[in-house]
Amino acid sequence: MKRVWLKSAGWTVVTEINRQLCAQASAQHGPTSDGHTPAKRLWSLRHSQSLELVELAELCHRCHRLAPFLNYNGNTFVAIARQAITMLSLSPTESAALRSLIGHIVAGTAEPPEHEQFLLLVRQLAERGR
Amino acid sequence: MTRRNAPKPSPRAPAARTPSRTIFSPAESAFLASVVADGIQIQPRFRPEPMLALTGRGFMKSTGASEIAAAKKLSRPFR
Repeated sequence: MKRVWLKSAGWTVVTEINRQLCAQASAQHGPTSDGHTPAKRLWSLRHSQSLELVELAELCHRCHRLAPFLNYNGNTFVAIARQAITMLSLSPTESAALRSLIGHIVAGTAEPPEHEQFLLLVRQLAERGR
Repeated sequence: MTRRNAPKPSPRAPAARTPSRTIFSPAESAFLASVVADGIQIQPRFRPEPMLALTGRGFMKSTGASEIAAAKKLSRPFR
């Protein structure tokens, strides 16, 4: 189930998302000295590629982990992943479950059972050819 | 000559509130608006600090089963 999930999400868009989320919470927006360059490089390399759903989650999680921005890295990359999967035509229940699972995985709070559930759901979707 | 009692700039950046000068394509603008809307909605579940970089463990407050329950309610056929 490969797709170009993040075609409209270049690094400038990611930066603007973080800027607006920080502005909303009156938090400082800006790049970090150590994480910004590697995250930007990774994102720029991968975002326009066709990715599996698991790879999308991994990319957003890795960029979250690199912490390219001073604040709200988690919020930024979780919201991006949640939005990217809306291109799948799923039932509201499946959509909510997938949104929740991918959110926890990107946020770094998913436990092994949640990872298993995510993989199971991805497999089911791939079998249905969505 | 500078004023002695001039207010110090806030450590929280008011500059972030200024509108972006970057021009995005319609597709990028639509994606950006959707992500920001969702991001603001889920913002209370996050802490602002980049915790994952330091601890390897992120933070996102759980909403429990309410998200799934709301979706099930939506998917229930009308009677």
